[in-house]
Order: sequence, then C-alpha cells, then structure tokens
Amino acid sequence: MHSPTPRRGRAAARAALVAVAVLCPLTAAAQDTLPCDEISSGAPIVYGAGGSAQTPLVSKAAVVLQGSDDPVYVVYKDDAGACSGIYALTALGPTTITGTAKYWAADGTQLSCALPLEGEEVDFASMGNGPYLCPLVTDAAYLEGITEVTGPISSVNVLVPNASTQQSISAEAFYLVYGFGAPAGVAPWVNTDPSYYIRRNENSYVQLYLSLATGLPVTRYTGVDAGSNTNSVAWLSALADPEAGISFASGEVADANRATVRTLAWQQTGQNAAYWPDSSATAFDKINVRTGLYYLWGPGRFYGLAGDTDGSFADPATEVLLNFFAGVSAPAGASKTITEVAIANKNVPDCAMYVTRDGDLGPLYAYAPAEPCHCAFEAAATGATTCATCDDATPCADGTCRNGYCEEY
Amino acid sequence: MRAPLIWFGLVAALGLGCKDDGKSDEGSDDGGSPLGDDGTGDDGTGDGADGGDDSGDPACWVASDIGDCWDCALPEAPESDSLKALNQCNTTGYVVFDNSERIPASTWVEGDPLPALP
Repeated sequence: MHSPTPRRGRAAARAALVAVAVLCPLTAAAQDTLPCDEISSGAPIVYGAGGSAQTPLVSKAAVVLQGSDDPVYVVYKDDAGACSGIYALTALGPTTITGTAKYWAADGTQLSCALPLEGEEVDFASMGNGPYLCPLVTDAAYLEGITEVTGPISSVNVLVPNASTQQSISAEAFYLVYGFGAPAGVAPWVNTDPSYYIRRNENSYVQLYLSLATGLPVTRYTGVDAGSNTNSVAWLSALADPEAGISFASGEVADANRATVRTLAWQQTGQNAAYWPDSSATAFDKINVRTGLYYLWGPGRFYGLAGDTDGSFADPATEVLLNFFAGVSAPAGASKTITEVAIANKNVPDCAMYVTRDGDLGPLYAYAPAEPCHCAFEAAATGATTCATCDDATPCADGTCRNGYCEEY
Repeated sequence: MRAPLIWFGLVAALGLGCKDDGKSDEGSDDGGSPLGDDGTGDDGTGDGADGGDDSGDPACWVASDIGDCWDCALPEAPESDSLKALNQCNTTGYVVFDNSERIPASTWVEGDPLPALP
C-alpha cells in the first residue's frame, strides 16, 4: 500500500512532466490523465504489476474492494508480461512501475492514471504461472521474503478466428506450427506471413505454459508478439485469411471475445483425444478443466512482500487484496466473494474443481474441495444445473445445501 | 482434501460416461470435425454414466492410442500416473485429433521425437 500523500520529490517530478507537456504537444494528453495517487480520495492504493491475462480478474476484484466498507484501490500495470511483477518484487527487474497504469471506476470501467516519473513501487505481482518459469528466477533464494497465494483457476487457450474451420490442435502440431512456421506444413497454418502466427514473449504466462506443455523453447516462437492477451485476440480477428491464423490467450480473455475468436480443443501428448475447456466450443461449464481433461490450466498466482508471520504480508492493504484473491477473507461490505468474482470472470473457483495439481502443469490428482460449489458454479456459469435447489424451508433430500443448491456433501 | 471415492461419486453424478476405444472414431477426423454434431459431445460411444462397468470390464478400461489401457479413476496422489487421468473416460467435449493426418510425414512421424528447431 502506498500513502496517497505525495512522496518526496514527486511534486518536482510532476512539474517536470508538465514542463515537458508544454514543450511537446504530443504529451499533452498525459497531462490530463489523473495521477494514480489521486484516484482514491485518500483510501489506500495497492500497486501491482504482472500479466495481462490476469487483468480481467484484477479489475473485478478491484471494483469489489474499492466498494467495501474500508476501501482499497488497485492500480495495475500489465504491459510488460506476467513475469514483470515478480521481477519487481525480487529486484530482478525494475522495482517500480512508470508511465500509465490501469484502474477501474465503480461500474468497472477501465481507466488510465499517470504514475510519477520516478516510478511507483510494486506492492503485488500477478501471473498465471509459477515464478520458476520466469527466465530470471533461477534460484529459490530470490523468493525469500515473498508470500505467494493462489486464486481462481484459469486456462490457456489456443485460438482461431471464428471464420476458421479448425476445431482442434495437438501439442505436437503446436510445436511444429510455432516452432517452424509455414515450412512445417501443418495445414492450414502455412501462411508465410509471420503476422498469421500471433504469439507473446518469454515473460508471458500463456507462452510459458505452452512451452512447458509442448517443449517448444519459449524464446523460439515464430510470428509476432501481440504485446497483450487482448491484442492477441484483436490481431487474430483482423487477419485477412482467417483459416491461416492462430493465436493464444488466457481462457477469460478468450471467453470474453467469443464473438470473434474460438478456442481449439487441445490434445496433450499421450492423450487419446483433444478436449475443449468446456463440454463444447460454445458451452461455459469448464467441465474439462474441472476434471483435468483439458491440460492447459492452473491457478492464478499472487505475490507480495512477506510479513512477520508465515503466510502474511508486510503491507495491510496488499494483504486485503491478496487474501481476497486467495479466498481467505473478504473485507466487510464486499459486494461479492472471490467465488462470485471468479465465475463472473469465466474462471473456475477452487470449490468447483474435481482435480488439482502441484506446480505448473504438474500431475493431476483427485480433489474434493472442503465446501464444494459445483452446482452453484454450473448454475451461474451456464444458467442451468441439474442440482436440486434448497433453502432453510426446503432442505436437501441428499447431500448438503450450499449456496442454494444440494451439493453431494 | 483428497477423497477419490467422493470424487468418483461426483463424476458419476455428473454423468460422465466412458469412451471405450480411443480409435473407434478413426477416420472421422479431418483435423477438425467434432464427434458430437450437436455440440454436446454425445457421440453415441458412451457405454454408461456410472463408470462404464456395463461393458463387462471391471474398471471401465479404455484402450489408448499409445498402447495401454486407462480406467476412469483419477490418481490418488500427485506423483502417480497423470496420463491415466488425462485419458479418463468422458463423452463430452472432445474431438479426435489425428497427428499423422494433420502433420506431413516428411516433417514428423508419430512416435518419433519432435524435430529440433533450426
């Protein structure tokens, strides 16, 4: 958390920014952008950095927390890849964020604020992968003094434009397509124009996961770096020949753009078939993520500087945010739980999973959440469930009444 | 947190059936044809919603394209065979992907190591 009170030197830095804006009309627009430390009317602000794949979840959590009885505001910078956040906390990269960053109005509208010229220290990191997939995190010692929590489950989705006829891809085909490009001859992804192979970079969660799944070195992807998950979708949908285009993004970004792009079923090496994340290309039940058949998934990871006790955070406001992501606690007056936020964001809450795994794309094993929410998830995500409804006046004939539905236990 | 029996019951309750032969749909795939024509994934190969013991096999065995068989149960520990879980029976949400058809043999042959990047 950073105090909204300007730090020493910030006023001078801002004056310098204004001077530059006066001298250069092209930067005048930045002058009109609200300084980030003025967005909260004095309430604590938590500054984060990390992946654009997590931006939709961060935004929804931010809206909930800033509307709670003790508001916490979130400013998030997502244009340097997933690993940028953990690099900042570990001092493996810049420890501050500069330029502009995202924040959100009470209705969820995304806004941009101006960070001070000297930069703002990063309070939390957010990414879909574990830290050891980030190229610079080569030793556990780097993570000393940092606390990690995990949040809702997200998937990595390989995408084609809706106009494409393709439905599936295997890990081997992905390796060849992105490793060799057109010369691999994996039809229909054989266009010699690199812009038809839309990728990210070695600091991107989605690219790191696909490399882990396929064996393709993360720095050896052919094609063009879209810069963000949102751009990965936008660039793909703008291609002149949709049949030849391919891209990838996080599941929540993919699902938010189903009007233009479609997720391919994924066949991991050794699998008999390719699976969609959902029961079909058009469903939202995430059943194949929840049962582990869709291979490319993992929990969101959130990091902050550790506090004095195990699992705690040094900064109280950061702790509020990260405990909310983890489902440990929600502040008084919060309008939604993390489960509700996850469902709204097309993520899978932990309580709706049938499997779990250790580490990034690690082996699967059965999982029975302490307080399952399969019925509530299906009802909210798909609009329908076969589970019986229940309340105090109408108890369950079998199972346990949770969230208004009869769960198995 | 790990309760395979409870999990298995939940899967049964969800109606996940069994695909009894991973090759049974060979030839139907052009690299992109969903088995289920209505988007539900119900391709008619399911042999039951209760784990598949009505086929006569004791544990819902599934023939694998890579030469082994897998049952419907998930591993009970993280270090056990994850492939078993990945190939568990399910009649929803899948298509058969034929690498040998999609990928030209001049580039790579199924079963061989993938070619090193130049």
